[in-house]
Amino acid sequence: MYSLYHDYKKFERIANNYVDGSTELNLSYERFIAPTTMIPLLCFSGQKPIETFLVNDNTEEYVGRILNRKETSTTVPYQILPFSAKERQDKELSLKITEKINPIYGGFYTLLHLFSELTNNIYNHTPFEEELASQGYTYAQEYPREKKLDLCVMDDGLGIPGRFEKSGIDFENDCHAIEIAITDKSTVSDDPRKRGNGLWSTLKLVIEANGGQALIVSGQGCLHITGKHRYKYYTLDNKNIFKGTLISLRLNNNEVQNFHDWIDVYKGNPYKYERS
Amino acid sequence: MVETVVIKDKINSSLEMNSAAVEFLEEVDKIDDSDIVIDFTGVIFVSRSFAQSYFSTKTKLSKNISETNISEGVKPLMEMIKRKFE
Repeated sequence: MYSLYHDYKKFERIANNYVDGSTELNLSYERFIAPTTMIPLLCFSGQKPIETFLVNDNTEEYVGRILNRKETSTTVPYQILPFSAKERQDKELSLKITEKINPIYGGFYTLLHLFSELTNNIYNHTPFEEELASQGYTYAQEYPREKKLDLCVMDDGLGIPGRFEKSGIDFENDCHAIEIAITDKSTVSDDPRKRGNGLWSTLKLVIEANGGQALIVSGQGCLHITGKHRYKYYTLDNKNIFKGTLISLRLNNNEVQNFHDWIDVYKGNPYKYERS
Repeated sequence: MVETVVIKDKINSSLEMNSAAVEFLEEVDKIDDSDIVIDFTGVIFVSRSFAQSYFSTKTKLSKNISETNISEGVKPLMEMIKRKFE
């Protein structure tokens, strides 16, 4: 099974090979397409006149299933995030998605918390209603053989660096912005309508409580975490193909006990960005 | 008089958005009674963001608002966040 970072880089390869103005996107040389590849591709194709995904025999069925939003025992079809926060609340979005996922991956409340916080961040910080983002997606895919679940949330909005710029929060570069977003200092508003929790609680549950992995791509910054002390920041060359924030999580098949205890108090960000 | 408001009827059973908490309590604040009980019957999930906004907004209101019928699945998180505003 490839890493989340590898899956993301596959997106970059495909998007970089796209011929501007073409109605076709060529995925035919990829033998396997993962959610972390597919979700940014959906965002990318939404900004282009792309009508056709060229695929090979290996991926035809899988890509077709995703594009047709077909539900299977291991796939929760991708969801297009509702336009307004009210609509999102009215639709009980996180609950409806979580009910379709096998709860052995982290547990029902952990999964609900993850979906809820990650999608809340979009509505709080780069809302569609203010035209700061135009597309948002969630997607979950179970890999029963590997006993893993991939869960992705993406929007094509301001991204973490853009949000900080707008709020007057200082940062050195996009990787540094991601580091700040994991702390409890990333709250950008006193308005409880717009206040988020930072990404620390998400990472605490996924990395420390579940032993899973995470990938955060925002602007040109990228953080790939495979353990509490195993992580790496990357500066990406993706300016022309990627906009917004992608968060991909890979969960193991163990349930987090007393999930609320893990997210009670912020105890620091272990994922420090080393300045060069 | 004590007025009881069933939150599931006003929002739904999965309390996810922080903005929903603020809007809900703004409506509650318009009720004439000064003692209000928020009934959480039927609520399956409360997000951390919702709970934070709920208690942060509640502390700013002059009414005496209390909570009842919080399910066992939701109670630990609600109590955890409530403690931060006491």
